[in-house]
Order: sequence, then structure tokens, then C-alpha cells
Amino acid sequence: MHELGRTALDLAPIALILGFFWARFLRADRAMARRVLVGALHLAAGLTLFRIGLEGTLLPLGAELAEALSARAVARGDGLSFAAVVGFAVALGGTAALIEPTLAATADRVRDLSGGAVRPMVLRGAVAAGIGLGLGVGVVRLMLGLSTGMVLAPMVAALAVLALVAPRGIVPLALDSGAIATSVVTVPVIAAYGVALAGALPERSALADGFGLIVLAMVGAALAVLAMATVEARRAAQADMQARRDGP
Amino acid sequence: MAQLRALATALGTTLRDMAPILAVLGLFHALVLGGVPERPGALLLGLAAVLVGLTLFVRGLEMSLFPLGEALADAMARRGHPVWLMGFAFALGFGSTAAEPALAAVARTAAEAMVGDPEFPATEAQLAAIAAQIRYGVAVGLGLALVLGVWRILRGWPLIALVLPGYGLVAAVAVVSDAAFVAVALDAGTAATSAINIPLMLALGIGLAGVLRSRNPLVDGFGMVVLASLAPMLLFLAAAFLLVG
Repeated sequence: MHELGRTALDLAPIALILGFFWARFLRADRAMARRVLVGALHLAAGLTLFRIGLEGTLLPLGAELAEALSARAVARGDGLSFAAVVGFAVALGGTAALIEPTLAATADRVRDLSGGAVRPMVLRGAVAAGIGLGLGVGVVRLMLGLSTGMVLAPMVAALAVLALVAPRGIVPLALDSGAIATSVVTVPVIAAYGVALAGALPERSALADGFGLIVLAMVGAALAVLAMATVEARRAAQADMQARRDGP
Repeated sequence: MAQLRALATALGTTLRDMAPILAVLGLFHALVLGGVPERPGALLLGLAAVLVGLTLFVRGLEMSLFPLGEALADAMARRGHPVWLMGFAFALGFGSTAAEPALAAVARTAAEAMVGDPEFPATEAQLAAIAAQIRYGVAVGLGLALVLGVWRILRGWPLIALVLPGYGLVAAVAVVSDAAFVAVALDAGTAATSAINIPLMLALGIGLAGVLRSRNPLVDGFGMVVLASLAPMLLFLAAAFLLVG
């Protein structure tokens, strides 16, 4: 019931705003109204079910594993155990991004807009790799006790460089993709992971150290999409040159 | 019959998307904790809820928020004055965040982090007031960020020129200070962007760029969401300096 209330609270103001502008700007269209209403019901039911399931399964499982892994790493103190903590963070962050519904819907829309040129799974894979790597960097930072700024600043610098090198058309989508992919799944998963990890490591506070992971994941996703587009553009240019050389 | 088949296909796609995270959790569970997870029945039921919920949600987005948002942006850009578009953008940003429970929770945490300093004792009432100021400040800021996003698409400004200074400022503050409220501000970007308003922001940008002849929706339509996530970060930092000093 609590989850249903949360979903309703999310939807109510938006429904009012959309209703007002719809009445003002769109002609009465029964078929569209019906479709939107049915879609909104799908949306509300889906979001509610999804949140209930997430809170009963993926979140506690991920937090339990993060706690067990970091407790073991602290107890043993060897490199391999710490590597396992980072590896789990990368794997969990990346795979969580793959089930992010806003990213899935956006990737489908991008496929349609690009006439099939941008394949949804390629975009989602790049975003997932970036989220995983960003989270991994954040976990290393947390274990070494570096400040978030020390890792965020180089990543922002890399973003500036890649944005210049990458094909111009991909930059807005790449910048947006990090923010799109940090939504209903990855944010609670990452937050639960950060709190569990900061709690297990000695001399870390959940408030100062549990935060700062999400922003790294966001910038990581933008970096990964830019890098992917740059590599693809280079490869396409090389193939083009090769074809010209082979030609008459 | 055709609808059932479509549903089965959609469920299969979602299951394929879920397979990697299930494999990761299962693998690490077997390696680290060993044995079977507690209450396997409840776990399976929960996973089924995730599977069905995810499928319904993506379908609902593609049926309602995406087409409606794009149709509205299209109609306003064609028939209305740009002021209407900006009003819509502002209403969308403000309306979807002012009541957002996630933002309320983060605003509260930020207020606690700000007054956590023993040199700055605060009463419970002051704490609530600061949290409310942050919350409405962010809601207004988000509305303005979306107005800026619309303006950017209309004028054809490059997105990177707006985003890079924002991230740069956030990173610079994080380098200089590692106070708790800075850490909270860094992650506040996602507090105001939700599964409901992200699709609408995308639809607004894509719909608007689709109407303008010299704009490509795939290139110029994106950028609203990153602006919307930068706004709370910058506003949290601004609030910390204005309210606490």
C-alpha cells in the first residue's frame, strides 16, 4: 500500500499539468485519450510492482553481499578480497543499469529516431559499462580514503576532452544517458551498496562516505558512451579509407 | 491472441535483461555466502514482481508519456508562442519535483549535514525550515533548468557549453571541500529526476527539436535530463553557502 501511495504521489502533479496543457493545445481525440489512459495504468501498476519486488529482492541481496564481501576484505586485508569488493561493485552497477526501465525505453526511442542506426543493446551496454566503471572508481576511492573531488575532477576533465574528440552528434545523448540511467533501479542499488560498504570499513561515516558514488556513475556513463562513439567513428573512417584504396 | 503473444515477447525481453544481474547476484552469493538464499519462495515471488513490473512500466512509458509529451511539445511549438513551451517546461520541472518523496528525503539529509557542525547548533524547527527551503529551491531550479533547456534547443546552443561549467564547478567545490553536505550535494542530481519526469523531459526535447526544421531530434532533442540533474547539485551547493555560510 505504501508503494502504491508513493507512485500516486509521483503521478498526481504530472497528471494535472499534462491535463491542463492537453486541454489547451491538443484536439479532443478519444483514441489517443484511451491509449494514454491505458498506458498510464500500465505505468502505475508496473512502477508499484517493480518497487515492491526490488525492495524485497535485489536491494537486500546486494546489500547483504556488499557487507559480507567488505567484512571479509577488512578481516583478511589481502588484495584479492579488496579486488572482489570492487569487482562486485562493477558487476552489480553494470547489470543494474541493464534493467533500468527509463534507459530501456530511451534506447528504443533512439533506435526509432536513428532509423535503426543506433542499436538499443549497444547503447545500453555502453551505459552499463560506464555505470559499472564509475561505481568501481567510487569504491576504490572509498577504500583508499581519497576525497570524491580527487576522482571527480579528472573524470570531468576527461569528459571535456572526449566531448571535443567524439562525433558532435552523440554529445547530448551521451551527457543525458548518465542521468537517464540513474533512476529507479541503479540509485537505490548504489545507495544501499555505499551505505553497506561505508558501514563495514573502519573509520568511514555513512553520511560523508556513502554519498558521491552516484555522480561518479553518471559521469562514467557519459564517458563510456562518448568513448564508444569515438571508437566506432574511427573504425568507420578507417573502413571508408580502406574501401577507397581498394577501389578503382 | 496477438496481444498475449506480444506480452509473452515483452516478458521474454525483460527476462533477458534481468539475466545478467541475477547471474551476478547468484554467483557472488554462491562464492561468498554459499548455500541457498533464505526464504527462496518469497525471493522468487519478488523477482516475478520485478519482471512483470518492469515489462508493464516500459510498455506504459511507450504508450502514454512518450507520445503525449512529444505531441504536446509538437503542438505548442507549431501553434503556440514560445512562452507556452517555457511555461510547460517550468511546470513540468517544478510540479514533478516539489512533491517528490526522494527529494524530500535528500533535502532533509542535506539540512542535517549542514547543521551537523557543532559550531552551528540548530533546533528541530530550523532544520525543517532549511529542508523546506532546499526542497522548493530545487523545484524552482529544476523548472528554470528545463526552461534553459528549451531555450537552448530554440537557439541552437551547444549543450556541452552549459554542462561542462556545471560539472566543472561541482568538481572544483568537491576538490576544495569534503564537508558532508558537499557529498550529499554531489548525489542530489538524481533526487529530482524520477522515472516519471525523465521520459517527459526527453519527450519535450525530442518533440521540440522534431518541429524545428534545422534541428535533428536525435542530436538536439537530448540534453534536458542532464541539465535537470545538474540543477539540484548546484542549488544544494548554493544553499549550503547561502544558508550556512
